[in-house]
Amino acid sequence: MGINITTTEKVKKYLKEIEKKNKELNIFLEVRSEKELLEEARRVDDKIKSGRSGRLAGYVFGIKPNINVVGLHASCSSKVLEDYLSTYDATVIKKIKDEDGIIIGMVNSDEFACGSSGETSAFGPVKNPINPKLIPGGSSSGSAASVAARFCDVALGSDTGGSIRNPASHCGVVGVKPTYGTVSRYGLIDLSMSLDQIGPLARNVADAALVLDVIRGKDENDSISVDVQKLNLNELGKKKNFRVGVLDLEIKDKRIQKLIADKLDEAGKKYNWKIKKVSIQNVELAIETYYPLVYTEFFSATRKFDGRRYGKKIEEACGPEVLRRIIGGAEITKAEHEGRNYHLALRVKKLIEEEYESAFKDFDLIVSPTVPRLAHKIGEEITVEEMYSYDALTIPSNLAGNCAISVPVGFVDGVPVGMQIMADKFNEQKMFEAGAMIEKLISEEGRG
Amino acid sequence: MAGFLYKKLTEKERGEIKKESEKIINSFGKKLSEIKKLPGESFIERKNLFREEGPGSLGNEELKKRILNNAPEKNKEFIIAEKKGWE
Amino acid sequence: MVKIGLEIHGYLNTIEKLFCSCRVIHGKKFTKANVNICPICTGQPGSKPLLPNSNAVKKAILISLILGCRINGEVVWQRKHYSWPDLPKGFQSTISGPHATPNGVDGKFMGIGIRECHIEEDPAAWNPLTGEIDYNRSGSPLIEIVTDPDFSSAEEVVSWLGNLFSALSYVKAIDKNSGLKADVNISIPGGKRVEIKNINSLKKIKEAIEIEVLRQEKNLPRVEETRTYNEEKKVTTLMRTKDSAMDYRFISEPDLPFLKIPEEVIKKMKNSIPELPQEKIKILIKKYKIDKTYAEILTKKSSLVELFEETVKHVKPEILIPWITVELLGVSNYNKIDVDEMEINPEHFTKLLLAVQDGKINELKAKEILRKWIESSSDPSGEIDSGKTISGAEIEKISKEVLAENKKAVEDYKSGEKSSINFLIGQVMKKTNKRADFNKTREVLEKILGK
Repeated sequence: MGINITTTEKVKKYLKEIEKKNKELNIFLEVRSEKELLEEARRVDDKIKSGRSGRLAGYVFGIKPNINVVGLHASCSSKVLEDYLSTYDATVIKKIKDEDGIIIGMVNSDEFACGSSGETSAFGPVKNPINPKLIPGGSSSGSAASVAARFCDVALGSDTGGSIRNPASHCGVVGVKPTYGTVSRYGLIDLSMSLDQIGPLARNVADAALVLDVIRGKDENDSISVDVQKLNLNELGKKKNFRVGVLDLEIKDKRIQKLIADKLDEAGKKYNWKIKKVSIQNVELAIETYYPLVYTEFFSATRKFDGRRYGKKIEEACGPEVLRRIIGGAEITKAEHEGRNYHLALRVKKLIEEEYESAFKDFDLIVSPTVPRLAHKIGEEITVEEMYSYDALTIPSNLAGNCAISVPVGFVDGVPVGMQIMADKFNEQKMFEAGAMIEKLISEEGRG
Repeated sequence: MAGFLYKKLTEKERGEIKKESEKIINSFGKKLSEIKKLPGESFIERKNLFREEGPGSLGNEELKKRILNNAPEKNKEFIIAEKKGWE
Repeated sequence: MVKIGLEIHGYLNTIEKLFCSCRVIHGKKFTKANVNICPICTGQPGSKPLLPNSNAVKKAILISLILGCRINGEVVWQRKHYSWPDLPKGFQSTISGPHATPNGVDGKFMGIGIRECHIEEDPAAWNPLTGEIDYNRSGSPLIEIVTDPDFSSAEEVVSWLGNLFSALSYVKAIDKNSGLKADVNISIPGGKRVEIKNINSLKKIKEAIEIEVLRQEKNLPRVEETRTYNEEKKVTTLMRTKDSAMDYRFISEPDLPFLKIPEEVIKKMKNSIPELPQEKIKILIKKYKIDKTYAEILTKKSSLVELFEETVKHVKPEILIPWITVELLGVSNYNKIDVDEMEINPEHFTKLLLAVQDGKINELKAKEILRKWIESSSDPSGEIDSGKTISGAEIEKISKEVLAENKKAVEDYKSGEKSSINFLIGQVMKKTNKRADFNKTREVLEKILGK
């Protein structure tokens, strides 16, 4: 963290910015009191001065509201949980607090993380800070927008089918989906248990990598979580040779495809990368594989919202997309259907996972656009199929369980566009190194 | 579906959502069943499968307070759900 | 012929709950409501299960083995969804349902076929009259045992359940104090099967079966039903019919890894199954030639049998039996503690009884030492040495002293009150710090007084 500014001054700056612009952009649902925040910031500054501070000292966080933070509302951007005060800290939150990160508040999102645009929140859509008429993407809409709007340094989001990378791309920031199982989900309110991961969003690759290094690791409270090695952050920005596969898949907006291809070409020349086309046989079935899994698991995950212990009965207070998924899950799991579609989808998931594992034998990284089309206007009429198709390029990484980062590489029609760099499971080091190299390329072009 | 913005749903809209949901499931399921060769289901394998017991912990008053605070109906010690008398 | 089958739930004897580390409540000990709770067992949004309690899984396998079941090495946790006030997550974590592989299948215990045996978690305790929910029990590990419909009478059921519980609590697999819950399935020829849910005592099970059989004979069930037993009114009442059966929408649990129980663990458990009470009684009688009554007393608690079997290697059974069944149990009863909670080291016990057997100390002294072992035994060597029975010559000497000091008692004895010799014996005991042998003292005194 460049210490030209104290944490206290920074928090003041962010609060001012939020006061100025949050009403319009609708990014933060809840901001902690100024008094509390400044007290905490002063404590952190004292620690920094005395050299006893944690790795996240000076960092200010926005948190997606499906992550539990004691004292704040884990509303999931829904009327169902609008009054629900978290009773315990998620593991990632404990880790942030232990390393002296400051949590400024809870950001907006798609309701219960069900969405790819940021429009489904019960508390109104988030507006894209780059162009407020456009969607910011979703479901971690507020997470990406808060970083883009400079309301905080970094944010936490959750990614099930692209929910971190998609809004990162639309808002022009960095977003990371970690390898499945490497970040504890304890305290994350479920969307789809087999796919969910918490991840960081930031204005640069180095910050995202630092945050991930702190929050990830085996947690006994998440029985699925696994051990990881520490990242070597000093290697970011150095030149490395990589074998890069370009995903052989035609997308809707050719301009996006060209932008990605051009930037990749430049990187290849500058860094001596070996670039070749790679095709994944069943990648075009990603969406058809994803939604039966999500419908089923989300249905199961939401049975606890029966209005007896907290919140309201979900079916009575939720919006259309949430209801669609619950009904879909109920349908799939009906006794007479024996969960056929769910089991089938689990098998195709394994197939796609194997296809990527095989591809990564020949490549270090697989690159594609993050999203196949530009952000649409908020409230625009759009079919369910069209909405679902936003995630066609991000879903495969969730199905395969590997890691992927979205790095901003430019604009088309004034709309930010992100490049997705995917690496094999547990290869976040390579992914971050490549991301940093792309980032360097873009920033040098910007200056030149 | 006119856009994805949040709104309170009418009965008619709920019916439409149900139909749409079923359509999606059927069409997606059909596409997936066309794949010829499929492996077994994806499932989680881990090295550690069990947890050794310790002395066991008791909850704390703070947690209890927070939990009760969120309950729609409660008294000092309990969350209160519906009441039912069996004949 | 009436056909009766059972679905029994028992609480596994563990320290922690199944998927969280909250302490399990044992028995009906009074505890404040909602004390043994955490975000996991109260179903807080975002909470996830810990890995399953290893002790609970081992005990479930042990029970399955005792019931003669074949063990499933691979097990996948399931979510069983339904809506009920006592269910914190909206689903129960279990190993049952259409895709499940129960811990044990196809067993037989005391003539009754065991269909399957599996582990699951307990929901919370909901009071339907007040609506209050207590999460103390929520998440406790349960064993569910499903029998074939091999019973044909209420007596048979009650007797079998008694044996089952005695066996399972003998091996400390279930917590006897937490009671049992049973669902009873009854059908009579020509009629459909009726399930009576949630009966929680042997008495009620017997009553419910008898009442239901009579009811079915008067009114042959045409559809499968679920009923509940009302103890006050002595009737069973309809809860729901099979048509409106619950759809639990089972899915495998995505938040827990596949359970693979290593072969060595299963083998180890098989080898560790102690002999059950019924078997043990036969062996004790045959091997040590002790009375059936005593054998039954010993096998009431595995700790007693273990103590007996260790000590009998050195001490004669005739001496040992009354010391366990009368003296030791006497101490525990007097102090109102469970003999299981007295930590009696067999080595100490052996030393003590050998000293009695060899006449080194007398019984009074030995009982005095035993009474000190309320919490735990200690090496009695020191006390044995200092409490050694004294020689005949020593007794004579002390007796003469006592007689000299208690002229009145001597006179009473000589004038026909033979019982006053007990007083004199008592005085000798006092002087010798109970080291004189009782009978020897009497002999010596009588000899001297006889003169």
